[in-house]
Amino acid sequence: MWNRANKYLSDVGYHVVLLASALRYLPSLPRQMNRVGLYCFEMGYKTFPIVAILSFFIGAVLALQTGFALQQVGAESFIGSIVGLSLCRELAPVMTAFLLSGRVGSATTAELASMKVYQEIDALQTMNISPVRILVMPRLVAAFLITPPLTMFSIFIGWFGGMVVSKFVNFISLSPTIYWRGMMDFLTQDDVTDGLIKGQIFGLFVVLIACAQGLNTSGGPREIGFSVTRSVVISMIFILFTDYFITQALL
Amino acid sequence: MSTLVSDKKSVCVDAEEVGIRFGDTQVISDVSFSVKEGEIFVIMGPSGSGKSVLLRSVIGLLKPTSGRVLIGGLDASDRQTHEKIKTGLVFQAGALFNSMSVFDNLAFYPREHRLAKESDIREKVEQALEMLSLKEAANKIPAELSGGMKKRVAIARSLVMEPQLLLYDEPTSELDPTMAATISEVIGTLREELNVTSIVVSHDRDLAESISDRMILLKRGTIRASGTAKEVMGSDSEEIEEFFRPEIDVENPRFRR
Ligand SMILES: Nc1ncnc2c1ncn2[C@@H]1O[C@H](COP(=O)(O)OP(=O)(O)O)[C@@H](O)[C@H]1O
Ligand SMILES: [Mg+2]
Repeated sequence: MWNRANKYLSDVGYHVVLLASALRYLPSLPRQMNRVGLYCFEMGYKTFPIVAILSFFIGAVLALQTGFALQQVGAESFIGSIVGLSLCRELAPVMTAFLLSGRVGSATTAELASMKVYQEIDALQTMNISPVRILVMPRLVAAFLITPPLTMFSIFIGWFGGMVVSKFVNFISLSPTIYWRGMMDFLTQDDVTDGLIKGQIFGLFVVLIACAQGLNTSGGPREIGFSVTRSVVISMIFILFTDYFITQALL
Repeated sequence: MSTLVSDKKSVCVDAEEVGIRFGDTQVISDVSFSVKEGEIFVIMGPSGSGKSVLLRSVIGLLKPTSGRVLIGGLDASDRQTHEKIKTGLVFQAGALFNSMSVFDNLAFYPREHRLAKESDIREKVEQALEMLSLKEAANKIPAELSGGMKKRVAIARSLVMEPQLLLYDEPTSELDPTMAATISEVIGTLREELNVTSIVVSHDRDLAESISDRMILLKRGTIRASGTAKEVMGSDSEEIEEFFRPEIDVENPRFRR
């Protein structure tokens, strides 16, 4: 029990140290813009399509559920506000982060773990090239840059999914104009910004956890797989756990 | 060759009563040796005797549990030492960057440290490729290479770093005899032309006999013999045969998961 707690604390410590040393290398950012660009592209390219599909259906099913409940009391006009609010404050950032973890975090952990196991990381060190500087810092910056547009995109697609369902499902049949007006009457700009900030924090930590788990791998090739699983599981727990506290802080 | 020549002087290496322990296992105990400037020093020993671990402590990837290693008088476990004195390690398994072409592997160090113009870097890389007859492999990725080629790429990558001290971890294992001869020639040439101090880990007796100035025999982490190749190998051939018998306990094999 004590051992586990100790291990847990040292794991947390490792993440903090990794983040700190990555930040220390920020001044080398201008020299590494091509790497940042590459990682941004990778993250965006891998995540956009799946974010689009999932966001659409989440928005759709949300409209369906609330539509069914609200039409019984004749309050369909509130669908827009409910879909709009829950997507941008909660569902879009969390889902985007989950998908980022599944698509990008897992691949990052696998890549870094394999570099560790096959001594590429050691080779970098013998060349006086910091692995944190070239592998971790640019990825963190890329995550920082790419998650807000990704979350924004998820929000829009989700809203659109909700609108399609509201219009075409028989028992709701809400006109898009009313759907959007209901949403806009309720939403403030803060709702959207809060969602984007949330997404950004999640994305940053998903990538940090992925890098830490990758670099912390030791042993043989078998460990690469273990690290990938651990990376995704820890990310998801972290997202839902911190979601509560970030939400509270942003309220 | 001319641009591969570094203007820096070669360095000496001193291991002083080095002991290395992982958990409860003492892998290296009380190992001391000194390598002079420009010397080729061979460390021989059976598999599992701690040769790679010893090299890692020289290159600074691992701090000895006791004792110390000095490179040119500076502590090898200090990263700054390796910034002042250029040191290179040819890893046993190559440790090539798998996502890059052979060419980019070689160019990575000078590019990352911005040591020269891109055109000069290319020229230097071409030379190193030529020297190890790797020209046709330049645009391949490491996964497309044979074990021997990976090894040569690893050596070429270290050459481009213009090291003052170069460590080789089993440079000729997995190579056919012709290629092994080429490699020992390369190690010799590097010393002749660049005056690089070299430490070569190997269990290839021919290699040790042909290139070493001095050598040590390592077994279970301790030095069993030291001197010139003649002194060490010529002493008692039966003892030497015994020395190279693999350490497998046939009666009671243990498999680690
Ligand atoms: N990181 C490590 N953790 C624990 N034991 C290790 C580690 N690295 C090497 N060893 C052990 O040290 C011993 C010597 O290993 P090594 O130096 O690789 O031998 P070799 O002479 O074949 O290169 C082996 O028994 C190995 O299991
Ligand atoms: Mg070895």
